[in-house]
Amino acid sequence: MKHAEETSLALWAGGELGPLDRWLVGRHLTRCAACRGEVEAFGGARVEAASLNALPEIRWDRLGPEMKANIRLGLSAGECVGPRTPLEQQRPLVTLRSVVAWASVAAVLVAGIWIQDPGPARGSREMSGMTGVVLEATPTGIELSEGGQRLILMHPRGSQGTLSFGAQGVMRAGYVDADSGHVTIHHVYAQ
Amino acid sequence: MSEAVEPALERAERQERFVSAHLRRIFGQIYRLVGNAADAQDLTQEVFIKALQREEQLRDEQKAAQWLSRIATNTSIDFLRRHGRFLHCEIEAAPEPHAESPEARLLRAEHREYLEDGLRLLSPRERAALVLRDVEGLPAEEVARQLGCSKATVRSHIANARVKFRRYMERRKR
Repeated sequence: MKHAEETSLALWAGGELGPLDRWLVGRHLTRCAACRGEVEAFGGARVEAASLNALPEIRWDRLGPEMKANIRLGLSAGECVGPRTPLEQQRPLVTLRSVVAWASVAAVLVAGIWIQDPGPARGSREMSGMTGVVLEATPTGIELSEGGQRLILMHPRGSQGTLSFGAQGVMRAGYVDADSGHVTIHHVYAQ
Repeated sequence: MSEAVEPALERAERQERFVSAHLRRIFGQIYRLVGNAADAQDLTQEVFIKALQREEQLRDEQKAAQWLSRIATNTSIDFLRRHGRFLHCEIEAAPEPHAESPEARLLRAEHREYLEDGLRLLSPRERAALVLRDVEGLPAEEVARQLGCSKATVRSHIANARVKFRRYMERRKR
């Protein structure tokens, strides 16, 4: 008697055979003890393989945050060194929606100025007597100041940098070293 | 316009939620494919960075989960191809405290190593097909989708992988 193909028996064990092959192999198995033994052995191997499903013993309380931090860092680095959108592919600066939006903003500003009494000119923070922590970008670096004291995180020399600001008082600077290609990212939070 | 003006904090929170929801699953999937925790960690991070750089693919949650699994599978297969069949030794992550005796842990680790040796005999695609089908328990159609091949091809990978794996087990028993 001709035995069934080994690969067919392997697929029979996992139930992946098509209808015709399933019928043919099933019919053969009713008459062939050797092939039934093969199917059993494939079933045993599948059970053994399934035991690999268990994950190794891992300190998720450490590994999870570490991986998340690395992912954030990777994304920030990608934004620094990622391809810039070519000028011709950029959206037009003046669109109907942007005109409407800017007009609305201007109307709100004009209304605000008109309603309020004219106050003293608000120039520098020294003039207005602003207190609290102030975070600002200067030509030399990111400056954090409070009550006359200043801390400046200098821009690295010879690096191209990009600055972005978050609404929650965060300033982010990314630099790419022109020689080595190394990426440096500064996140400064004002609290 | 909404994408451009989406506050950075909201975006970061959305990314954080996405990573938290899928991190363990993807780490597990990759670990089973590459068989090494340190490599699985690196590859998991790579997969999430790749995915989050193309956030437009993540709008639909179910599709995003499948897409993420596909990236994980492909990234693992690329890794296995680059590193051949001889993988580095496992760098064990610090174990969590539990009640299992040291002997039982050693036996379990040895058995795992024995099975991993068998998987190393398979080609990257055969290994991926076997792990996704028999270890993860995915339907053959889903395995085909993740590997980006036809159902017939995936059946062939699964059959070859089972034959090789079983022969390995029989050889080791003798």
